[in-house]
Amino acid sequence: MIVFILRRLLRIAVSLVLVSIITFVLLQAAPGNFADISRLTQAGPNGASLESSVGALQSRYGASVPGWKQYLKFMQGAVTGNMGPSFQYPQLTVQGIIEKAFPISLTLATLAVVLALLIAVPLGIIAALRRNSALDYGTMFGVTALHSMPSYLLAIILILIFSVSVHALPSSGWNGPQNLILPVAALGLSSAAVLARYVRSSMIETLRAEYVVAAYARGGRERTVVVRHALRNSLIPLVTVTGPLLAVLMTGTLFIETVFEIPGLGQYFAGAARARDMPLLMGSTLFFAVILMGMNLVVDIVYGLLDPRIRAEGEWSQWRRRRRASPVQV
Amino acid sequence: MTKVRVWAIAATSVAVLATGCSFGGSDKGSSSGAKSITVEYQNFPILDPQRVGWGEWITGAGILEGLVDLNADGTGVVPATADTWKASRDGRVYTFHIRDTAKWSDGQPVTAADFEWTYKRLFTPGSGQAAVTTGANSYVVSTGISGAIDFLSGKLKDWSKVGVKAPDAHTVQLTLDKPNAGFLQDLAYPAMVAMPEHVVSKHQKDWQTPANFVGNGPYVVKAWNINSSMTLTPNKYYWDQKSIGLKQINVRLSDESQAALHFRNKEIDVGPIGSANLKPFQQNKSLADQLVRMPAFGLSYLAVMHSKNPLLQDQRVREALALGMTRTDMAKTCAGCRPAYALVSDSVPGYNKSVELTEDVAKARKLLAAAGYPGGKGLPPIHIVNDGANPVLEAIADTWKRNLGVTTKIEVLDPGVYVEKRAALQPANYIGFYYGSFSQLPSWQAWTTVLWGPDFTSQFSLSGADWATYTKMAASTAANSGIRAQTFVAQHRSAAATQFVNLVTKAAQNLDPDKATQQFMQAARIRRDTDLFIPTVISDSFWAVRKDITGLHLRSGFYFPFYFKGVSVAGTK
Amino acid sequence: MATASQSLTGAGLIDDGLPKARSVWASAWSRFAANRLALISLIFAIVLAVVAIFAPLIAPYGAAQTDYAHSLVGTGSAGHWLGTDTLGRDILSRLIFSLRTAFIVALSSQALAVVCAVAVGLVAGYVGGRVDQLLMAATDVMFAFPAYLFTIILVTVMGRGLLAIGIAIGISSWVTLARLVRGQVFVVKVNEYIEAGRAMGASGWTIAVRYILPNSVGPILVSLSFGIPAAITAESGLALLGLGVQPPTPSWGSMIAEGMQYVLGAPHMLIWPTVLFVVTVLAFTWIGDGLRDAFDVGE
Repeated sequence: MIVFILRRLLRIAVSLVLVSIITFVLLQAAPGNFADISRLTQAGPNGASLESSVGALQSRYGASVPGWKQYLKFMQGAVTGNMGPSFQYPQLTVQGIIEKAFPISLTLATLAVVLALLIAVPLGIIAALRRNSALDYGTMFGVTALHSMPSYLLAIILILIFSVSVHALPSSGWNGPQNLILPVAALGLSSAAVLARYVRSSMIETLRAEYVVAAYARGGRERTVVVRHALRNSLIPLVTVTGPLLAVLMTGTLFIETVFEIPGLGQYFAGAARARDMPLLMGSTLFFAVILMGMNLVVDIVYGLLDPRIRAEGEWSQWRRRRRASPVQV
Repeated sequence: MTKVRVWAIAATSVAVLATGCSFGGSDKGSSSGAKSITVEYQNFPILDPQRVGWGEWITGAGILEGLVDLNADGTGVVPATADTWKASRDGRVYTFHIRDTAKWSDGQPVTAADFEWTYKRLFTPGSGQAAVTTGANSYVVSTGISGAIDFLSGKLKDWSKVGVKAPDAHTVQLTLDKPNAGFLQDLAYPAMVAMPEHVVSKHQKDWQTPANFVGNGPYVVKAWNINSSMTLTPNKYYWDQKSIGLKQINVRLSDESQAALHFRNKEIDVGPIGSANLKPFQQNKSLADQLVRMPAFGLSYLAVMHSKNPLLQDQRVREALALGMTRTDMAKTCAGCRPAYALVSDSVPGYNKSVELTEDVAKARKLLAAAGYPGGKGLPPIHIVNDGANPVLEAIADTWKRNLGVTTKIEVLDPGVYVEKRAALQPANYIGFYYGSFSQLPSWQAWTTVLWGPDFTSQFSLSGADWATYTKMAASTAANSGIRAQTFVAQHRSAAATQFVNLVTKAAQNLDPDKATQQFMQAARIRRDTDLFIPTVISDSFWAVRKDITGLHLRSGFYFPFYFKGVSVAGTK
Repeated sequence: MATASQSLTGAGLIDDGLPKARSVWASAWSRFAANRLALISLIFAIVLAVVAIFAPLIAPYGAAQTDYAHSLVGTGSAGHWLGTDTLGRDILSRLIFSLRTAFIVALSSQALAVVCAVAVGLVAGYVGGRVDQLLMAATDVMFAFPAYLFTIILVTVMGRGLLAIGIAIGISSWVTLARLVRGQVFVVKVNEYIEAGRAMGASGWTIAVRYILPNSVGPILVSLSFGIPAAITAESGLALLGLGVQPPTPSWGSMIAEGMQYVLGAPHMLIWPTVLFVVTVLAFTWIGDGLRDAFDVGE
């Protein structure tokens, strides 16, 4: 186990470096460069306060420092946790922005997962119990329909219904709990499908297992059998999907934040790409990558700890490969 | 097991919710008549009056104050931080008296030294670059303060030679090179507000954060959630307490304009209504009552881009394109738009058709044929570059195709790339225009010297190769490069541009307003005939203002069209 | 959950000595056709493809045909069943032409993805060693990028042409498919039958083409049919951020983004593209599900 974790951490570190290099190189290749743009828009008698932005960049990164030196300087800062000021917001540091904006994305993601679970678990169980019935097909149909739509399209539809036709909920902004309802609903409904199908198929498999049949034969009421044996075991795989789902949602709130004008980290990322804000772009990309890979590692560990069957049968790596082959889509 | 897991997750997320996230902005707009309002406004990253952008505009709207403010209809000025002033007989020296009761929000008095320090910051070249007027920037304020341009370009190093003096704590003396009839209105421009030296020099990096921010305007920044909202509260040291009518102003910062929807849903009390949502507002009686119109607010135009390909340097081609548009069709694509036939707003007093161009498709076709492209054949695609999608562009493409057989390619670029592209020399296979829009006060001076003014017009009249030389000169960090660049432009601009510059300079100094107007109009005609800039449509600006809000005087000319000072809610004062 | 041996049985590989590529298709098709939902979706997709190809003949107006007198008329107006946009262009016609945009983006991105994935996956699985490790590293890196982030950065670099967007989406998605192909290679590699084939002198290339590829067809098709809605979704997401195809080319994403601006006064501009988008994505999802069941590919 320890060896496994260490090996994984090494792979994560290598991946992070590669991610940072790829992002940096692509950004350099993109047309437009922040310092030049700044100089062009601010030129003139009104542009005397260049020192607030260009000056700060130059003091940190040098006036005409080659790209690779800028990269190393940034990475040095990233490792020590001090990534310097953002180009667009020179009064803020990159880590300060992440600290402020990420909890917002996290809140959205967490609540969405909770909502998704609240919907998916009962639906999946019912569908499994009434397998191949109209109820089964109906719920799976509905849930798949919701999932095939991207969450932001669902969000737009919800806005149309609850904000445009009826003035019930705010269409955007971030002023209070009422602003949470639509974005969380969009994210949660969209994710519910993945979970529901998992629950359903997991329940079906478990229900077929011999020990379940045996328990039923012992005469307990159907509900007791379901609750005590099948449920517990069938929900274990749920951990493995919920974890990555949470990670994907945490890092994938970009479109929802854009549609609802929520100042989360996803929005900052999109803005940084558009404005060629190198530190913020690199910082948020690396942060997201750490979250994704970290979450995958945690889930692998937890799953290994939780399910003695898997450990015993040694299907560890095979199971991991199977899970990886169908990444959760948002 | 399920229940436990579910509750565990729910509890965790409630905890996360409680601790991790902080909602921005406080109360929504008031519906109970309490003294706070919610205004929606374009988002900005930096709150610095000397940095071009939306933050500049809102700063000048009530957070920081200059010597004077604009009056209600924008035609003159009223006292602000300065309570009295006088101008010398020759119109070159202005002396302002800072009122005794002017204070910063931390209790310190506002002094003339603050103004001198602020203007020095404004005219100090940033990081040694001599970027005076590289042409891409069009917010140049032609204040005419003597020595300012030289100081900014690095030619003048001695600040004491610049025409900004603070002989004592309450006197600011500004000296101009030549008389400038619009000088007082120039001083109302947001970049000319005072900044608190004692704070900005102490907190160089984060003086804008609410904890450090100190202002001399009626309201101060209490909270600022970047990309989300800003809260303004009264400045208890402001000299005109009577004019502070609100307990709190919530500013909602947004990039997309869903302000119309928010207003209709009563989430905001004041907000800009874009042309996309104008019709539903006008068709709903209660909403239409709350709509305020600023006529002829923004004039949109195409400006020729410099290219190695000399095709668009042929004035006949440009004139053909200018005359071959069908502006009535283009104006139908945006509510509140009208065709624009001149580079002057028709709200300027004395405007008449003599400065307009006359659309003439037949003539345009002849011009195109004379230039060697009959029926548009042989003409490579003409690019139109913009920083956002705009139906007017598609209409331009459509009318050019119909009338002239010209193919157009629209390019929507990221704002930074758009700015860079405008200023660059395009390769030989790329010709086109960029799209922009301007707004200014309704005066001849504004529309001929500030917008598409002498420098701008001269630069755009340069050939491709000359433009490349000029931009290199202007960007160079060598001393005097700014002045050298300007000299180069003066030597290489077109004859028409020279005529325009000379006429406009004469008009600006002419103390006889009628004669000056005639000269400005003549200059405008000369500029029109160069066809370097093609007017397209002129659009009204609409704001929705809740019925019971009073004291909001919307005026054209700037992007934040009203001051917070004097605004209050009826029935609460 | 399908295991290796099941998929081989389903493909008819472990019966007699020879893989029956034909019977893979035949049995898959009969299973697919039995799935009503999938069948209907397939028919719908074919109809869409036909409409896209013959768009100029089917659409009542041109995509760029303006009619300034009838700007922003609503659903059910005379001559414009689904209304018009701000330039008076017919929404129905623009939707029909936008099918072309959608298919171009989807097919170009998926074609690129499939070609890269098959090439790399085959080599990585078969040769193993360095190439395999590189593929694993590449997969790790791609998975480390949150969804869309890589695409956004790529489009920022490559600009907003139709093909550029297609390529950006394709590059972002080939890795998963490559892993799948590689997995299939592993499965087939260990099959004793292949040993026999090699003993008989069949070259690596022959083995790859005659045995591995037919077995991979299932997963590839499934991936393709899920990839198409994913590509369309990606393009619409880019449009929402202001990075979609340039006007006046109609695309669902840009029509939806534009429609959001007019939502108060002209909701039809938003509603109809959304409806078409949802229905199309649903259809391809059901096709994908059907294919997955038909080829008995693992969940």
